[in-house]
Amino acid sequence: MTMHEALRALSAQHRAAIIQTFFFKQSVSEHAQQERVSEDAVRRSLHEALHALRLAVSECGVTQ
Amino acid sequence: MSGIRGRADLPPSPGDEYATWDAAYVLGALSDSERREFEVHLHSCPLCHRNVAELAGMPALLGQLSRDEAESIDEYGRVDSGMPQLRPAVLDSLLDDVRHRRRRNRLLAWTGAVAAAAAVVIGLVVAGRLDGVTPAPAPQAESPTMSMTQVAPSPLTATVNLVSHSWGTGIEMNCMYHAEAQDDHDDGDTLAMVAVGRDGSHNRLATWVARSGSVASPIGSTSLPIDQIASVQVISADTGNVLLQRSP
Repeated sequence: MTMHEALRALSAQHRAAIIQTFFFKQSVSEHAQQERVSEDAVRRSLHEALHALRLAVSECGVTQ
Repeated sequence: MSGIRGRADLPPSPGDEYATWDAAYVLGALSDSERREFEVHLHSCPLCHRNVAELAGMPALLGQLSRDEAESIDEYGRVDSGMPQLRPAVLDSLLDDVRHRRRRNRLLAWTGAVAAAAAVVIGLVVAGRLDGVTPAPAPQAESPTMSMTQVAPSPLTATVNLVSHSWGTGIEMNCMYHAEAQDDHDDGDTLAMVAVGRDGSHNRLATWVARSGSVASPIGSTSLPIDQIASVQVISADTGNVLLQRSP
């Protein structure tokens, strides 16, 4: 599994949270405003998404 | 729906409003004031400490993708072309395991949590990015990313990945220095990566400054073939004390 595939397997909401904050340097508050959700919801999305990614690479291994 | 599914019911600890802050912290998405607030909380919360340590290697993995590659994922939509999907049942069971461990670990002392974290073997393989300067032939062999074991008590956790090449071995590390109470020396500790050869040789391959709450990603290489490396260590550059260690 590549990181591309791992990210693709996330829900759209979780993937957007990861991509916008990590790759596009949005802060939690900026992403919350863009998505019209609370900052708590964004932190929770990132929490669930990144733990899911970690478990996925732990389960499947990841290649470049 | 198949694929990786987040779980809405990963429970935060009762009364722990910071339980879901770990990923935003690791990804650098907290504001400066939130980051400082969370670091203060980390001093007193082994569970959050441990969750941060678990996620510490993820930015390096995500960094394998360029921004364009990441952004293009949604342009292609979610139609999969025969890509093996994670089995949802497996993922559910892993997530259940995480929840179970979280509950259990509220009872554990910090040292116990560190030992448990070190016991989590992350079976991921990172291809060698050491060859960034010139296009190089593919590495001969990749080893899984391995958790390093604490030798002396320290606020450090780390993973290490060894890549075998025809010319020797590349070593990539992600080292998390957790915020601790003894912040009277804000300059940070200088750490070093050491390769110990089976012939007894000790070679310092990289040095870096560990600042509270930061993750360093030092990279080194040695002419030793991977099977001649007895261990990789993180040491205090000043005292030479061994803090973390891992054998291939």
